[in-house]
Amino acid sequence: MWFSFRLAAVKGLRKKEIRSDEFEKPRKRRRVMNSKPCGGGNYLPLPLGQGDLVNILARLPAKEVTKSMCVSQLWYTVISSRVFINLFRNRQRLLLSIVDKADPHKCGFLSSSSSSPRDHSDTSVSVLDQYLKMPGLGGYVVNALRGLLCVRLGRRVRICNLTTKQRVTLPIIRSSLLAEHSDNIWSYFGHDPVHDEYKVLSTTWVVTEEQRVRSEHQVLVLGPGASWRSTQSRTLPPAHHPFSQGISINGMLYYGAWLEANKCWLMSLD
Amino acid sequence: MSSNKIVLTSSDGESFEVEEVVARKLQIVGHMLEDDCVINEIPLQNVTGDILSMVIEYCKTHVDEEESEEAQTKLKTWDEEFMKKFDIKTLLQIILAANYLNVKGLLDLVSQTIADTIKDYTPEQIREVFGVENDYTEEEEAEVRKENAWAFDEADTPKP
Repeated sequence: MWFSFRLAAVKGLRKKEIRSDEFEKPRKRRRVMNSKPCGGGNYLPLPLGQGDLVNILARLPAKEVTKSMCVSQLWYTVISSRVFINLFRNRQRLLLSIVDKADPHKCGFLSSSSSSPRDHSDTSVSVLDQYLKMPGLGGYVVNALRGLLCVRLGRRVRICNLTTKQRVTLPIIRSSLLAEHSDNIWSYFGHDPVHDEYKVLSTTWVVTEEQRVRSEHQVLVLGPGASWRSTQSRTLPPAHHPFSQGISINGMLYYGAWLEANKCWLMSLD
Repeated sequence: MSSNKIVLTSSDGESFEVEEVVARKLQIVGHMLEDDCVINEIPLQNVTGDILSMVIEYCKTHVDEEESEEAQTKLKTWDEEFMKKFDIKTLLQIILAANYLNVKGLLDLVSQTIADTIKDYTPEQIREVFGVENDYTEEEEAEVRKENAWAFDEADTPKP
């Protein structure tokens, strides 16, 4: 339903008119609109080009941009386009999380305020003065990326959009290695710039009585109907359990991991 | 150092004689000068005299952009004062001109000023200022508001 509505917006035609096959109408109206301003002295000579519109809108705070979607279908299309979203996201803010280790449900998130890109341009100090409250935000921070925050609570991974306060809960992580109350799960949230896709990697492991490690790795690509699938690799990585936060450099993910009780490795994954 | 003079003519026939360094701040002019080095008069079809004069004023001030912090602060203050002179409709005409004439600095400055101005506008006010027609049906507009309820959750917003 939503998708078809967006498609209609792209074409710049009203649903009503598509239904009644009156394709002439919108065109006629557009002509009237264009000719109107040419009459007087103080007028808008031409409707703004899309580039100028993007330039202006990208400088508005997130809330105001979203409200501007109501202006017209063209504005809606411009604002919801991938190009615009990528441009708009070039803003940074700091985030701090505090989690009670005994009970990860108890946690708090603080963030620096960021309303306009200019705010932080000439200062090297950020104040964490915003208490982030949003439903469903809780657990350990996996990592944050491009305005999105990934948190994990037990086997549930959630991706939260801190701007729009929207969130998605990913399918529960299942693994034969996971015992009932085990928390031997490690995750990483990454972005693939080549395909412009968001991916979550989850590793589950078990340490046997003989101090041997067995592990499974699953990846989920964000999107409708996303599901976990086992990682594909020509050479299978040795069983390991990660212990450090992951870091992504040039499309490769690096993290520290234990192979056996006393061997520590740096793992890389692309 | 010899400084060439160039005459810029607006769509309504107003002429401005400026130094070549100033005219080159308009990239459209810069390109023309590179293509053919002996031009002294350049007609600019898509910009009226009153707007062109403001663009030239900006270019004259920004003609030698110094690196020093002091000079930068001074320019910034000048920019702010300069922008205060214009109402939103004039700003929109300047942005069109800055785009056509390809003056990057002015384009950024005006975009930011317009963004700061329309920040508190309602969608209705934005439509009026930008000359945009509301092509949503009532149901469609309500749908957009519903989908983005987080942005509209203030008390002053009409219920979707």
